[in-house]
Amino acid sequence: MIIYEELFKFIAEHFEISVEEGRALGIYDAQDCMDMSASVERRHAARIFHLILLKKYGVKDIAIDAASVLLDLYDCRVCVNHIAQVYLRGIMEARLDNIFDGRAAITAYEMKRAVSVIDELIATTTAVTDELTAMI
Amino acid sequence: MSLQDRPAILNDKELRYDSFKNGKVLFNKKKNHLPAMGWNSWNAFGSGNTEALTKDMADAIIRLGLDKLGYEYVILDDGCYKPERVDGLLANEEVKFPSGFRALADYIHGKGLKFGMYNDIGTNLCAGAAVGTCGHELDDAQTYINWGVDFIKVDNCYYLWDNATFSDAKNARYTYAPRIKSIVVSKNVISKNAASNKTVSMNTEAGSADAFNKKYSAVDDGVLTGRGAIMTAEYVENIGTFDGTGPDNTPVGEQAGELKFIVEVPVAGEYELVVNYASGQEPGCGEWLQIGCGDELAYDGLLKATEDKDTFINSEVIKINLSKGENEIRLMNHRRQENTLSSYAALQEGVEKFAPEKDIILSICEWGKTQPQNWGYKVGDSWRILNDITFQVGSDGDPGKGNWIADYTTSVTTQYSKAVVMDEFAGLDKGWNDPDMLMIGMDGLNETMCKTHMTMWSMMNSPLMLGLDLRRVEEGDWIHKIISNKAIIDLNQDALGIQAKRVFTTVECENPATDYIRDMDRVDIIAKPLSDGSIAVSFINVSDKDKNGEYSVDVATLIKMLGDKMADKASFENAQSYKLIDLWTGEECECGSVFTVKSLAACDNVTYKVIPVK
Repeated sequence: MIIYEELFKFIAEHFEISVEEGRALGIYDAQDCMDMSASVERRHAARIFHLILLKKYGVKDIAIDAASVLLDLYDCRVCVNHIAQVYLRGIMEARLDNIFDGRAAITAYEMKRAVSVIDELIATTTAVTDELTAMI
Repeated sequence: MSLQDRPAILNDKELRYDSFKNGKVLFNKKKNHLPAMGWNSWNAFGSGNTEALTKDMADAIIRLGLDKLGYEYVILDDGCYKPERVDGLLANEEVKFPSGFRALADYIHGKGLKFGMYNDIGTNLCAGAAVGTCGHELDDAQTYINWGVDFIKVDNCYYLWDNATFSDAKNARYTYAPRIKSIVVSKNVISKNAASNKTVSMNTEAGSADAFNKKYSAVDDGVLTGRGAIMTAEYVENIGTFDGTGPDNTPVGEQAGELKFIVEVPVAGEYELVVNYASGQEPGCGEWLQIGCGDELAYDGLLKATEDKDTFINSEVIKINLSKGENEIRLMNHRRQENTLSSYAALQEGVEKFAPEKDIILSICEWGKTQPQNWGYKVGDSWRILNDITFQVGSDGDPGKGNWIADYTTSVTTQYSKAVVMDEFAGLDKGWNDPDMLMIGMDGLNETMCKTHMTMWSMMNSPLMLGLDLRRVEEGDWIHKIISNKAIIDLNQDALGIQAKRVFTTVECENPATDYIRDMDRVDIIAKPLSDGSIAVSFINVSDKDKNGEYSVDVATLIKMLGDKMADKASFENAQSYKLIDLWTGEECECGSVFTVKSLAACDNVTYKVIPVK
């Protein structure tokens, strides 16, 4: 189980996003910063990871139709897109039997894995962008 | 404050299911509003809306002249509050809305526009902030009035009395009756057995000369009425209100099921009723039972939980009054609708208490779960009919994405296909079916789709809530042309206030007006009487393929299906000819009593104003 303080620290180390910057960019909500000792639910982690991609690195959303295999996708109406984006990109996996389990707490393994996949994704995106820039 | 541990006792009969059809509003809810028009932050910015963005949108409404066309409400959706109450009251999120809501309301009002806000009937908002109205309705009504709010959209997240979004799934215990195996009705013989908590005698032997004791089997003697209740070999279950959040079922007709018994007794008086039941905490099998007997509600509450949903026990004795001869005893659970109505009504009560002169629009947004088309008119001005039209909402710099066709609720055609058969629920004296906010300007919908989307919503008297970043719109561009088509908007805002009815569809069906059709490979013709005696007729290609047939509707059909709603039926029926104005191209022509369109491009529409010529 990961608490907000740990998640923020991990994100700051890997992506150089401070809490203040995260708030300013709209990556972190006010409620994320209310209780640093609270455990982070997977749906909130999905939002934060998705918004890091979108707002910090400008990685555009992909179509989410394929995420409808998640049986609980529509249980969280405000995080459907966040969950779908991180699920389809392999950043976060379903827990079992196509259940994302958004209200469960994210584990340390899941957090580290998510950040690792984001790292790879950003590296790939940056490489493609550099390649395109070179071609121009 | 402490919240109750179960749904409140409903002392006001007006909150009950049996009053849903009486046409009476609650707490002097003001009526005769045309569909609301404006801009809502959700589809454009999701939870990322800010004060600065909102001001930009208000400015853009003026810059684009949209205010002059009727777009007047600027509405903050989720993501604008501080995550917890301050001294029990709502407060603004200080990073995104640093000046507070009163200042923002003043800014918006200063533009001649109106200000709207969002909340939930549950404990939390959908995005998580613990500031839902549940238990704070009166305080919040006062706060909204203080802030100068003109419009409140209220969602259904974290609701305590149903298995709603983010609610405890076990809340279904409140909204479904237990499984019912039998009832025993008795007089003068049963109390002893029940009081001693032994199995009640199930024979019909009388204990004294005037005694009555009869068992009625749910399967053999019961009758299922309404919709949804299921009779198995041993018992009846699924007694409750059908969940309408998804697109699977028709909104027309009864949405709740009951188990009824006809009980004939020799003398009038007080009888004792014992129910043999098994309870659970899931959809289809709950713990809450209502027992109706004549005009009285003899019981309305939780029964003792059973060991599991396959272990049947007898209830305590329930007193009922029966008349001599035949009596109808109803076993039911209408609490899904009644609880939700009560929660929305509490907000309206607050508005009425603190500002009876104020005419605040209430947008009910429980996503069709509790069939609000049955009760929404009592407290609201519109009611959402389904789950969201898109879950891929935009953010600053990203327009988000919408679909024309999708399996779930997330498309123009899914929302349209349900709303189009709901016209009889709408009206100036009721309110409006709400198929969610417009997706015009989002990725995934081309110009043709957006034109037809605008036509559909206008014809169906749906609220016209723009959901795009208006900074992307320039006067005269294709988006502006669609959202500012006055002739189309005039259909939506016509004073007669009649939602269009489907008068024809290419899909084989019994009744195009009421049959719920989910096959999108079709052409519909919908028609809407207008206050000047004319009729608007839209030929709509619902499919994403070109259609090359010939599609017609004649005057006789229009009169037959809409005659009782028309402003001047006789003039229309007896006209020598008809002038047709194409409301998208402006072209005019005159024709006889048959109106025809030859071929429709994929997702396209042709919409005529049909004016009788004397």
